[in-house]
Amino acid sequence: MQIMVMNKKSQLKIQEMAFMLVAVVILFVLAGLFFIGISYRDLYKSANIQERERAVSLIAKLADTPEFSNGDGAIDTDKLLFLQERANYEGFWPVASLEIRKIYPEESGRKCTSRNYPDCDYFKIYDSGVSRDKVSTFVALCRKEEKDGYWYDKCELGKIIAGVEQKTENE
Amino acid sequence: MNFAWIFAIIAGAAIIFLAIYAATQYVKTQQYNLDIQTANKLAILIDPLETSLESGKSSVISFSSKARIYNDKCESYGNFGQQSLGVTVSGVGEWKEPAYAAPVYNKYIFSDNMEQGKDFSILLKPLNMPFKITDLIIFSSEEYCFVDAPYDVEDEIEDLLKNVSFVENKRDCENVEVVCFSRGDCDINVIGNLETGYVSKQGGELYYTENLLYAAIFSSQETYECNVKRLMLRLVNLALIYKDKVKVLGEQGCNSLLDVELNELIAVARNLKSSRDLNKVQKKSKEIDIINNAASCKLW
Repeated sequence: MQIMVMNKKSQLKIQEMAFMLVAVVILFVLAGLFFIGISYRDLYKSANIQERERAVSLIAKLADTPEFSNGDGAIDTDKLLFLQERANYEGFWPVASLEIRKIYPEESGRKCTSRNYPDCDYFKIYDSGVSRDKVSTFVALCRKEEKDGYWYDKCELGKIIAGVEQKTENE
Repeated sequence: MNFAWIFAIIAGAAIIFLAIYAATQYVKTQQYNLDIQTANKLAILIDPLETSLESGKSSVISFSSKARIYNDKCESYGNFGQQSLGVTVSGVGEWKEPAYAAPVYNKYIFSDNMEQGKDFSILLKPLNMPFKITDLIIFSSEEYCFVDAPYDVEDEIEDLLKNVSFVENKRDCENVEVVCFSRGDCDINVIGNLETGYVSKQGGELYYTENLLYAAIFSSQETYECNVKRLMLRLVNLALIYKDKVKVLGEQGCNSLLDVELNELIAVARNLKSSRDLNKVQKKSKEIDIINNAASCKLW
């Protein structure tokens, strides 16, 4: 009779300890998940900040890249006209979208094509469709024009607009 | 010792083991995460490096502790090829595996497969063939000793790179990579002139034209050859843009003679098998440059 009571007591203690251990493990797991969740959110935040920083640093010097440059620190719009039709440049620069827009003198908002060039407003180099944020900078847009038998660079004020992909946790 | 004690010790040991394992894994992941962020930041720092009208530029990237930058991932297929830099920052114990940043398509980075140090000197040199193709980004953490370098080389990079010393005799170089500009038994030998030639190093020959000389000196053989092929891909794409520009200007009354010449340049660049073929591209590009300079409305 005494042995049976001792056995039952031991079993009860083991059960208590097992429940306690399970509770402790669950507590640690929950704390860990909470911590990982916060770190994960920070990771997205810092990735998005880096994307934006990268876009800002890129557009600052985009006018000097050979695809855009006229050799004098301005953008050569004669190059842009067909550059926007070249699919192999999609994703070449680390931004989600790239657009060059004439801002002065103001016009009607027409996309530049070989039919309406140079009487148009913007060139869409590419757009991956995922940009949620945009960064921009001012730039000179120049093209070759002829006057009295001489060719010169005619320049207008423009803007480079780059799209930045902003990742979210739901994606 | 009763059963309760034994059970408690075993369960306690298991929990402590799991906790230590989880903590170690977490630290490793965080370290990897930090290395990836550093690699990406490195890419951000490199992005705005672009020359405008100047013939060269330099910069220094400094880390707070010793770091290794790996430049051993380069591919030359696709539209432009790609390159990816790996970084690992020194921590406790041995060096870890590097974390690689997202690949870059628009930069051409020349260096050894692995550079180690706290400060990394960066040299930027434009490459024109005949129009500007890109800026060559050359970085190094090692000390170099240039023996008997031509005046133009000294003049061009003396103020830009602080990790290069110029001497007249090989004996003045101690415990550094020795680069000789006349035939000699040095770590790196430059055979040729500033226009064209080859750099002999690590048992191989890296052929160069113009500013690719600096890339050949500071770069590993694999990275150099891969980047030369990538540069040709970029040249082809740029030549196609200039062909389009010929059309645009033609509609405005400026008839350029370069359309056919650009086709030939594209063909030569597409046929490049290794840096040995660079002189063919350079020859064609010089012919084109002469025609462009003589035109009333220049393409570049």
